[in-house]
Amino acid sequence: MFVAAMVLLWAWSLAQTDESAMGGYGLVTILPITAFVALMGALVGYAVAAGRAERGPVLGTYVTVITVMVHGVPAFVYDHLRFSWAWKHVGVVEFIQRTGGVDPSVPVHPVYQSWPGFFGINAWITEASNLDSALSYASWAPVLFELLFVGALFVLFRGVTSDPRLLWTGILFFTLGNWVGQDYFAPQALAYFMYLMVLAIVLRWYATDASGIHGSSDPLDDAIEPGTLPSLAVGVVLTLALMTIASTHQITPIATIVVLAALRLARVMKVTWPVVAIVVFSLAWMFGPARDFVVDNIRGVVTEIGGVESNLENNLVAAEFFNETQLRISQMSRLLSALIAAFAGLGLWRRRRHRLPTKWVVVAAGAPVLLVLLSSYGGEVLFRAYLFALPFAAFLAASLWFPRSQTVSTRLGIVAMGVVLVGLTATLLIAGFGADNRQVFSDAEVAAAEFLFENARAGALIVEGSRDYPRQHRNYELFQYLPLDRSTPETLEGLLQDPATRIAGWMSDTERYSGGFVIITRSQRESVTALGTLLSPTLDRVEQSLLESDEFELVFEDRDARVFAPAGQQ
Amino acid sequence: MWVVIVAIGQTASVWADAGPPLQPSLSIVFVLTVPGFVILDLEQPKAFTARLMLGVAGSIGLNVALVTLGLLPSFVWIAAVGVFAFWGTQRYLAARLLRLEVARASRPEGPGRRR
Repeated sequence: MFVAAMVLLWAWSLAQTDESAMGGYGLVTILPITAFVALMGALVGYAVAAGRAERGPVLGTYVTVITVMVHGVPAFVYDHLRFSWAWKHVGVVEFIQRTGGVDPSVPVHPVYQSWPGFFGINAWITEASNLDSALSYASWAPVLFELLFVGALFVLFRGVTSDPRLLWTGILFFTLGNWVGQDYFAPQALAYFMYLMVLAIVLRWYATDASGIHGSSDPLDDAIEPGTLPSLAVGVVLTLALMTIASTHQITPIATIVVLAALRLARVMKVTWPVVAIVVFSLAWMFGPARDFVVDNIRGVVTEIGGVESNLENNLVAAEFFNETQLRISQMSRLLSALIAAFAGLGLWRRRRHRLPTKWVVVAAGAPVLLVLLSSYGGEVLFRAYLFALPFAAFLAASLWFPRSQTVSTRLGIVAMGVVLVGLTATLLIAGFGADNRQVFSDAEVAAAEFLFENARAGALIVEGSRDYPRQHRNYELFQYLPLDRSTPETLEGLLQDPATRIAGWMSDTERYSGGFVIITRSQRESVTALGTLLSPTLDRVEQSLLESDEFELVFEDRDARVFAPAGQQ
Repeated sequence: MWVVIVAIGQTASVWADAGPPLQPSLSIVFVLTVPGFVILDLEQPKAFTARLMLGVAGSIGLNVALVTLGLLPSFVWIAAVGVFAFWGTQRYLAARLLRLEVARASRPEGPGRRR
């Protein structure tokens, strides 16, 4: 009843939000105070319910509601799809819809054409549903994926504990610690769900007696007796999940190999075939359909192996240029990661004090750290390693409060858990949604992008202030892109001497381009300022030069966006 | 039997439509059938949520494989045959090992048993 009241208050609060009033810290600046009250009420309600050892369904309802409240806000509040890279993924789906297949020789984002599992199934869903574009439902991906993560973790944790308090608190720590934002419309979200299911199956049906996993549980109605062969269907699902991972994403197969191999070497998993299968599937995919991409990029991949320092630097050094707001947001994400790690450490200590088996969870939480040895993954490997370790770190963190089913909660323990949950959520709202003012787009920005991608001719050069705008959702492979914030200092220096003349010169090169457009939006300005990728007056100067030039005309203008084209092109 | 029906139906639906992605209505039926099969037919696990999640993962996995089959026909056929061969072999070996284990456990041995 209480949780239902919090849901109603939360829903009413969301109806009061005004997206256009968003400030520097993103989502939190537009949520009314009642939304925070509702969220805090649900969190405190959970702590009290867990402290009273309420039944599993009660705790599960709280966790499901909190998950939707936190990760579902963008889908309920924002008018358009969040993240420019999600728009790009819609574009890859559109490519498959339009052409009937994939083409690894496409020069723009060849990696997506080489690992097309996610895009293929979405092209199928879009067509089967009679929708024009995956944009129709892509905004709801975070809600769907977060709920799938909750379901997969339920299966996983139910195999290792019969205490609903530990199970649901572990899932809640996962939900609140997941600031990495890999639940949006993207291959990694699908692959991550499969990764969780692989580990759920392996730890529940293929765990050794020596791992102590089953021995630590109270008898369950669905417990697998040690030594019982898993059913055929479980093995088929595991095989399909491993195949999906191999054909859908690039780093998830590596994480899966690392974690499964570690579990096997530590004698937690009693069979070797899942390790062999994921290695075979991954290699077959890499040197089969993705061969062209792998051959073209092998040198960079090999160079990064073993380069821990440079791989870490790639993740951290960019923060030097952030403005103060972005720096705080970045610090919040690090703080949240550190808090989860600290609680996990304390939970591990408490489990050991109670002489509970810890090997399986330490191995599963620790193995993803090895990813840092292998690749910088475009500067994201540290975040990905955290994400792959998070389910097990969250389980350990929950063990701090509920190491075993006989543990009785003290009043102080319940209060402490309530405070911790509220603190984690406050940090998550900044860490995960703080940058939304450059990752969420207005009607004007969407209209400008629609205009551009509908009117540009094949081969056009698209000059962008940055990549942070709703880009590439249609005909994406037909154009060439020049994001100014990723240009070399020499290019920028030459450009700023006379922007209009320089860009006109590029676009008049008919051997390379067939005309082009320049697009400058509010979200691009926010992006270059926050990330420090361009000096703040640069885009103003480019825009002013284009407005004053006879060589360009303003072909689209709205409050948040302007599109320019060479005079006479339209 | 259900697995065979679903597999045949899915494969038929892939090839029923020359253009991409797939023949919609038939496929939707089979997409829904897979989790249904896992939920209703599994002996293990008994818990509904576990069966549901296995069903969802299996359904997504099967459909990703089949859509990929539509995109990259020759490779996925080879991979599918390989997977089933691999799976069948390991099931066979596991069953043999289990039989050996059962046989060993039932063999009378030691002085206590003789008495």
